[in-house]
Amino acid sequence: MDLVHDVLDKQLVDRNGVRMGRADGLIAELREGQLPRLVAIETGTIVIARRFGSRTEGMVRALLVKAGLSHRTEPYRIAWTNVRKIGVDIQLDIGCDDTPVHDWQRWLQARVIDRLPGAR
Amino acid sequence: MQHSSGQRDGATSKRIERDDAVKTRAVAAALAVTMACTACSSSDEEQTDARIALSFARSASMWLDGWMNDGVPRAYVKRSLESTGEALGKRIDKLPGSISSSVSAPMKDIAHDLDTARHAVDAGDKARVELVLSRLRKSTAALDAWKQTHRESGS
Amino acid sequence: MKKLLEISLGVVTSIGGFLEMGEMSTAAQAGAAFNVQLVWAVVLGTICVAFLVEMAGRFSAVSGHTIIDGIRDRFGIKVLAWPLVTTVLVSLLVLSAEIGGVSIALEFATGITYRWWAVPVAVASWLFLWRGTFGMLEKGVTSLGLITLCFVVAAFRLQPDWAQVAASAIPSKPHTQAATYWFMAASILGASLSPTLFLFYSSGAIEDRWDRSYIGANRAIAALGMTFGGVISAAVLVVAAQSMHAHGIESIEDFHQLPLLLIDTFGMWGFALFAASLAIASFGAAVEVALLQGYLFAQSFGWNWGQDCPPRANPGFSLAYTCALVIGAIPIAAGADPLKLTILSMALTAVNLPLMVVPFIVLMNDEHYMGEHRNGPVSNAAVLGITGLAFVLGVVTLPLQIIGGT
Repeated sequence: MDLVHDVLDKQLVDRNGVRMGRADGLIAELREGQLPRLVAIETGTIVIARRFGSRTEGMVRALLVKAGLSHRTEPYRIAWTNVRKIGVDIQLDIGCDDTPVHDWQRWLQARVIDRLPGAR
Repeated sequence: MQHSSGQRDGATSKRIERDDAVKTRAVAAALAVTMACTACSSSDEEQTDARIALSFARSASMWLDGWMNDGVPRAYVKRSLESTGEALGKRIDKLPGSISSSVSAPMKDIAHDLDTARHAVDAGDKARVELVLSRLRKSTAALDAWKQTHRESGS
Repeated sequence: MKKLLEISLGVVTSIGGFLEMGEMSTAAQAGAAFNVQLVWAVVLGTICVAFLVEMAGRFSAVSGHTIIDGIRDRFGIKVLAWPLVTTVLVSLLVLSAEIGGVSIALEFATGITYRWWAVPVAVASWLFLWRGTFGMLEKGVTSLGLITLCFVVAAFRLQPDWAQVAASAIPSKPHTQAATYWFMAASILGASLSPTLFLFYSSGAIEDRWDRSYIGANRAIAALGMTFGGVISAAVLVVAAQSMHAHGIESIEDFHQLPLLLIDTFGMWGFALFAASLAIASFGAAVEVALLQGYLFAQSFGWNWGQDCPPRANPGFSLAYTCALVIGAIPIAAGADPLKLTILSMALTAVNLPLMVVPFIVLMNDEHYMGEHRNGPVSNAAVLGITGLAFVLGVVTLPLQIIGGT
């Protein structure tokens, strides 16, 4: 399997079919004389920033800390064992609500959206 | 030992470089044409002034005819005359001293007539509107005559 | 039978949704300034958008991805970032232009200056998205857009020289004002080739769960819908040529001049028809461009998205289109000239095109995504050629226009 082509940047989908971000980064274990072994998928703003270089990563990290979101400076890792199937997207064996991936959207939902009429 | 991967290169970065090269050349061409065109003649400006004045004058005739005969709403006609009158006034203020009086005089007449027409429409004075219409016809005829003698070349 | 109904609905919404502030302004200005000579730009734009829309539907039906999804999937975030940023920015300008279109139509209808309408229009668009199962409602608005067929009626009533119109379908050089001519060509192309259309179309195809069996229907919708839509744009140009140019009105500098296009043919009713056409067409477009902002962000970053889900299920998506509408209302409320803003945004769309279209064409030729349904050489050549032309024209003429102070 071509890691870059078949896994990276793919849409992540939880066990209920809910979209939960994309595979922004990969963690692989390098082994002597063998192909690398995928260990985990990483997702999150900081992972995307890292793809653009360490300077961008530094800026984004600083911004997040300033915004009081220092807990978001660590990427969220999904263990490879949770991957159920890879096709058009990556189907995972976990529930989106059990992860912090969409915490900010849940915050929006609770604090803003539910307070506006007609949200349901 | 863990290694973080996330780099794409090779084919995709080559594609970006090609795009960049095309765009750089296009921008250079644009700059060259721009610099050539800052030497554009003032007669082009006169043509543009005449064209805009004519278009406003004839539009005004259509508005006024529409208001008098077809029930086009007064508020719309008033606002149209006001807006075009303002725009024409701004253009007149920016006219260079070298402009031919065959262009600037009719332009000023038209601007004045647009203003008069607006007040006439506001007051519902159809007689005054008729007067303005005939004055506009004279101004447009004058500008048309000027355009005939200064037929445009490609610019 | 169901597919036939879908085709009909697809064609109707394509026609009704084709004309908006951008198409109307660019075609009107071109017809006034150059008679029917720029018909070729409308023709080329229509051909290209028909290809693009067909490809968008085929891509989504076969690969299971939306276009944005596919670009990130194939090229990665570092490549997607560029067209994403530029398309977001240009689309915000286009959104302002559409809000401007509705606002000036409301000024015509009520006499209240357009600046006051910017915020109400943005709020109305937002409510439409927020409350709608806007899949259905949006189809309703774009069906109402069929009122724009009044331009086709007007064109026939004005009895132009149809032989001359047909001859103008072939590109020709201008006799005067060359810089303006090519700039208008770029704007017309930018108006027809707005990425909104094909990005939107592919999102709709995914949401409606199109599969390979839809490829035929898709081709029919794209060809018929875009062709009829293009006919309406051409009609605006012909009407402008007959109502304005033929009466010695060779420039449309002020948006108040626009209703004259139909006042000439239909008198008072023409004024009402114009205001209604502009309002409906631009409102539909404003809603679509706001939605597009939602799609751009949600699909790039993997959030949940969808037209028919309630907002609380898609908070990020809802935030994106809300912010877009807030930002989009600002220029018009601040007093920017809606006509100038529109023409500028159309030219910028032309310049931005290759960033979206080139990766898309690569995808359309990629066996991994398209299998045996890859593009043929004709599709590739038509799309790349016409978008290349639009780009070059835009890049060369836009600086000239800005320096010329238009």
